[in-house]
Amino acid sequence: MKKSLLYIAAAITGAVALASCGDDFVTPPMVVPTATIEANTSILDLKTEYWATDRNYVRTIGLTADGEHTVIKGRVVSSDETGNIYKSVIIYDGSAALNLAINAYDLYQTYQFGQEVVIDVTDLKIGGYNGLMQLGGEGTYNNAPSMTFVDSELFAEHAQVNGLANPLLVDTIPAQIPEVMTAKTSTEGLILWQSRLVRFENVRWDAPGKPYADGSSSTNRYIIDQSGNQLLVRNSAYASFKNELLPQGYGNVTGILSYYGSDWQLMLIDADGCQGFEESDEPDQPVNPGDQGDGTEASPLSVEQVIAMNPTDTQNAVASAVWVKGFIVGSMPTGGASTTLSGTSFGLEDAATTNMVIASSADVKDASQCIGIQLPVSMRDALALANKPENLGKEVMLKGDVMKYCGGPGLKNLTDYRLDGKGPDVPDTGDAIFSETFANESLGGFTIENIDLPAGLDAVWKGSKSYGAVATAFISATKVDMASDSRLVSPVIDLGSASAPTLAFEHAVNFFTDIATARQQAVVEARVEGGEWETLEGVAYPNELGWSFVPSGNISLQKYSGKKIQIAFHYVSTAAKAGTWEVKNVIIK
Amino acid sequence: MRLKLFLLLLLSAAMSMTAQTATVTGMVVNSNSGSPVSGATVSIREKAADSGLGGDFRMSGITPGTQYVTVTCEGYAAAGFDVNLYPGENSLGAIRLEPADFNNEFYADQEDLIFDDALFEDEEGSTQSVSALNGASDDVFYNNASYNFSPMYYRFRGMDNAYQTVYINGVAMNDLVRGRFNFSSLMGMTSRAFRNKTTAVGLDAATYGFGDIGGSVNYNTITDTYAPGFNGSVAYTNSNYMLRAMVQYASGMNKHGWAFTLSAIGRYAKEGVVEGTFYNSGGLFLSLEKLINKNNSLTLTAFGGPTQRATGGATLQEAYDLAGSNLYNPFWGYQDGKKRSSRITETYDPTVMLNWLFKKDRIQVNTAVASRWVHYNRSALQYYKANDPNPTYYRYLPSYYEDDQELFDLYTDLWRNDVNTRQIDWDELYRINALNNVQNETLPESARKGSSYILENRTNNQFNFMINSYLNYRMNDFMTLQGGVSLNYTKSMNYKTVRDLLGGEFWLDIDPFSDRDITIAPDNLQNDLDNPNRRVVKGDKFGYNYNIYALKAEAWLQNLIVLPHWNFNYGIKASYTQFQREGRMRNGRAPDNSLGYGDMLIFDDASVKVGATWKINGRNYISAHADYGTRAPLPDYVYISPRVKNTTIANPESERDLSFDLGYSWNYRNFRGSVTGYYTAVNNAIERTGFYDEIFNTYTNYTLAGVKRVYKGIEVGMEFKASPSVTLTAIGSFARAQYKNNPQGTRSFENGLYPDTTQTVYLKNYFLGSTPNTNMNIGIDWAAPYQWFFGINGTWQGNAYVNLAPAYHEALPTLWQQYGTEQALQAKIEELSQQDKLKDAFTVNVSIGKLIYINRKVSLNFNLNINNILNNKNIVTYAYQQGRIDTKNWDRNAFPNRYQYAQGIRIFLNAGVRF
Repeated sequence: MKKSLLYIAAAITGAVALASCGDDFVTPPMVVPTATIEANTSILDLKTEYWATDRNYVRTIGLTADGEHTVIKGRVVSSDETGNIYKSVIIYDGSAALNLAINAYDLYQTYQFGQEVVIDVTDLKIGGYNGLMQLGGEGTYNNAPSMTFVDSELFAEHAQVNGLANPLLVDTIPAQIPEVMTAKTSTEGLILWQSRLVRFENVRWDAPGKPYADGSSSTNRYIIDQSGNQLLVRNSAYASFKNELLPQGYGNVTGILSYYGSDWQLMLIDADGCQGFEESDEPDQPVNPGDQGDGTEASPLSVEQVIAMNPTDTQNAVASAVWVKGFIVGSMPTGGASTTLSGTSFGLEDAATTNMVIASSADVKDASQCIGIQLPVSMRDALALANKPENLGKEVMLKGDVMKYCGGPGLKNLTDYRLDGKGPDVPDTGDAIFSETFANESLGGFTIENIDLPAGLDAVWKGSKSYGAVATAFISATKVDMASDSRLVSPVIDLGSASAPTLAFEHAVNFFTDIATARQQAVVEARVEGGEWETLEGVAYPNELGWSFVPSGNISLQKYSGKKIQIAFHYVSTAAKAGTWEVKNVIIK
Repeated sequence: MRLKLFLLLLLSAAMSMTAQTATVTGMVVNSNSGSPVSGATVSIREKAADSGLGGDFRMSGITPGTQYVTVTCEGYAAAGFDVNLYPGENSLGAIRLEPADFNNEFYADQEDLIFDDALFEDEEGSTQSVSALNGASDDVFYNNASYNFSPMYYRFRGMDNAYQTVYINGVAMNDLVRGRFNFSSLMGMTSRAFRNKTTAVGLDAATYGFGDIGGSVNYNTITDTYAPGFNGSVAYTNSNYMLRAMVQYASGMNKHGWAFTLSAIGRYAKEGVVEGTFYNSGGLFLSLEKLINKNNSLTLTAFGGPTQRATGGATLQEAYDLAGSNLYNPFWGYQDGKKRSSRITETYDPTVMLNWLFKKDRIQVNTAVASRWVHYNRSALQYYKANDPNPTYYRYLPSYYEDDQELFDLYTDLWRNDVNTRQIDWDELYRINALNNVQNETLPESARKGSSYILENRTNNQFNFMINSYLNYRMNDFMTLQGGVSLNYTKSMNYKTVRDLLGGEFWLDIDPFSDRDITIAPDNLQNDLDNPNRRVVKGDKFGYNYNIYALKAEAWLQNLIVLPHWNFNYGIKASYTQFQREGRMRNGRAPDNSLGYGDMLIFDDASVKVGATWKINGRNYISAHADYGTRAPLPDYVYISPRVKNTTIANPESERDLSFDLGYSWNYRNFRGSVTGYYTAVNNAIERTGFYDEIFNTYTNYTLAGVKRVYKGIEVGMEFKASPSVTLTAIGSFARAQYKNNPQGTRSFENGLYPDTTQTVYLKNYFLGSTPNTNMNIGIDWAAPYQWFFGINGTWQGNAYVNLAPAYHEALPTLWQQYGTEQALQAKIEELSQQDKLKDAFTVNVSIGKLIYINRKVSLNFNLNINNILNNKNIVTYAYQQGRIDTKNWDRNAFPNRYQYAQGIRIFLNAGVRF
């Protein structure tokens, strides 16, 4: 019996050994992308070959000396995830770095930080944009060829990702402020240092405790080394970390060494670019203007504030004509049985044309943290995700009435918006010398110069909600036409070096006796600062009286080139007939 | 009896005074039924003999004098007695063995419940089988495992039913297409008409056939093995059926050499334990024997009975949770206020067999011809240009709306409180079909609309014809020789028919899944290109229609050697297999290779089997067995899309199986048991699953070829007699059934829009699905005074896994686009490819029995078995991962696992009478 117990024990031991071998599950292998093209040119060689001293120029990349396609390779050292870097990917191959300007958002998803990219750059454009060498597309600036963003699909055809992103392989180059300042004085230095990912050690911020960016505009901050040398740090108002506070004390700051005009500007990838600074003992200050606004354009309401208002009525506003700021996160699909905020489609699926949904950050996926926006017909082309899918994730400011909408808090009766710095009809003012929309009941920097102000009117010119600057001497209360003479005068505008400045605006004329009369009673004038008013020729008027705005056409200001001038909209009326003149979107380029 | 034996011995002794040694002959019978017991071991000193098919045995060369004879047999109490042996022939006459474990007898009464669901088809179309070993043996482990490990669908050594051979009177009855034996064809008569059976465990040799690596069982229906007399029983249970009644009468042999046995059974449930199911089954059995002369007899066996039952099936955990029951069944709904099931299984497998037994001296030959007609129908809802009628369709579940609290709450509420949401809304299906009819009144004939919903029958019929002959030749006292030849011809017929148009006018015979691609490949729409856009009505075949013709011829030879300290066996089997698909429809997705005969596939296979037992002494044994052989692939797996086309996997080859085991067993008066380790490697196997793939809008067949599976483990069984009436048992199995390579997978899209793709599927070391790898059971049986019997046992089972879907184990070429770093990508791959484990299960069973002898002839027995008395409703019997993968968001839970649960407490109350 004892013996048999021994046998049992031995048998069990042996069998357990047989049955329990370590065998881990075999997982499928990783499939990683592999580029099918090979680099034959270093970024340094490419930049050197196509460098020009001009601020703005465009060149087309050709074949190599051997007659082959020019192919470069580099590892992504940037990310546009926080929004501080915009429509750009920066690659570095150990020799030099290159900014790739691509017309797309969320590039970090395809070109992740640490991702190796191989690009057949043949036939792509390379050149300078205000001094920064970049790969991109061709555009125009002041009627001259200029670099702009390359179409993202065209770029994708030329670029292949190779392997998986490996952030550990990204080189961050230690740099000193004097070193880079010296570098920008030579072509070699600029070629070598532009767009590199650099780390400045032992520097402090010029404004610790303040946010990276103030309000809704990009902000220049500076880092200062122990010797007092400064370097500009440009923080975008679209950066997700813009409300974080600049740290105290000395630390290391890492970013892309970008260039604008004639100076470096360091672009942070994210707030983690600041390392080793003091931990602040003080509680965070509530310097978050976006989060606690008062509803003005300068201080818009946050989405949370609107939600907190808890509007319960779909007709009566809790707050009227207030500005609200948020990020476009989706829309409420309209095809189904009901359109509700809780049914929000986050992203572009079933994108609606009549509404959209915003939240306080672009990554919100919870309808309870969102508000619905009713889009008026006039704004659907510009805002609705169905028409502009690229708006997804963008920050937007909207002016309207806070009411209940689609079963949740919402904004209705929109009258204005700001998206990418543009409003409802604001033309591209990107390279304007001067512009004024007259939007929002504002006359902007214009002043009224009354020559004959009739009794009963405190002004002929007024700002209006939607129709720009409006001039009329018709007293609507008494329905009386009055005689008047009044100019709406611009601030002094320095036309500077612009060689062929032009004025353009949109206007509508109505209630004048006829168009011919309107051409005489609604006149555009200009003068050199302090000089005499001169009527400007070449203004296009509407063909008929009515409320339709027409463009004025480009009115040449060439004769004032290089001078400081003012322009005026000169309105005249008679007691027989006082017309109405509406002017908006004034721009001088 | 003793006196009778003594007289016989005297007589025989007187007849053979001259021989120097004694020869012993005799017959082992069941003391309850009087039927012969085959496979009993009769030992005198170191000599032993196994009783043959008729219970007979012969031993020569025994030293004359007083000898102690022991007779042991699986399932019977051992018998031992002294005899005086004289030189020459000594006949011991009939040796009666008492069935050892009354509980086993009781369990046998409800054995059909275990096998009721032995073969079932899951939602994705793959058949599953349970392979608990049917029938007890003297092995403590198997004796208990076959009943007590059934809750989690324990499979013997983790192996599919196809690795066990089931014989009836020596004729192998496994079907040639799926490789399996469908226990339900025995109509629930396993405890009565098919009670007489012999089991070979694992790689053990058997005298009736070569067996298989998963063991074998032979049902003996030769008429004179039935105990003459009547017995009947009525049982109540709260399972698939509620009531069961059985009667059997065996005439015994009359003076003209005729004997017959008649059995009948009926099983019924208006509604089974699973809501919306029912059960109607009846069966008849006849065994008729004519003893022609001393050497020859003929036996006719005929049985068959229709079964119609509605079943449940595996579904989503979310649905169970919402319905508040793990027995939730999505396959029924109300029609006119009455419950109606969409999933009705109908089987009817009438079988006729004629056996000619020839016995002369040392030779026994059993020759048989048999025919079987298999009818298998399963109904299912089909729909076209309409909403999915399945209430668990993912868009009907609250989880689909988890981003929308209002809709989520709405659907949750509907699921909880609206039976027409939770179940099939038959009235709605009829209403939609009726609306089509209304529209038809204004439509031209060509534009008429058929049913949007129908109930279809999926039919798998077979005709089998089998010839078998095997011989058992006693060469001398030490050696016997067995051998046999067999032939099986099978025609398998597979098609769909319209079962019910649900009020519509007709059904348009096109592939609903190809509809979306009509502009790309209009012919793809057609199931029958030669009869395009055919309108079918009730009873018409549609969808697909194909036959498989299979033929298998086999011969085997085996030698058993019994020596004083060693037993040896070795054997060889050779077989020839051919099969061919015949398409009966020209399918629009494969116009060139769907109609007519495909290539004939031919396979030659062979197996060798060896075994040895070292009898260290009378109490301790060490045995080892090994088997190596090839096995032709099954037609069911070889065709990558059998409903559509003749295409097979590339280069189909036979499977190669290597199996061995090593065991130690001991047998003391109060303590016996065994420990066995086994290892089985199945190489080059083929597996096939099918599923609807949302991504490609098509039904997809996924075939794995070149699969290597390894089954290894240890089995321990111990029985301790604490007192003559109290027995303690403890058994356990600790196993691993795993994939052991990375096979090639072929994805075949039934809508034909995409070419078949073949890729590596990374499965190495993953577990085979569902069978629990760890099983333990302890029990106490008490044979109390006054013929009372009590038993209680507890079972713990665990380490069972979900059946894998290959799509999660492929190299995913686009995954990096969303998981761009090595770390993130690797983490995602590991998340997607992990294998879910099933919950462990613990159950307790209690049984009480009472036997009453009214007089010497009439006895009554009552038994009450309460299975799962703790009412554990959380036992997953079967689970599989859905075949499709979410290639958009790579959400592992987008298409969650489907589970099937065991019922809670199950009562089985049986009353029987015999005289």
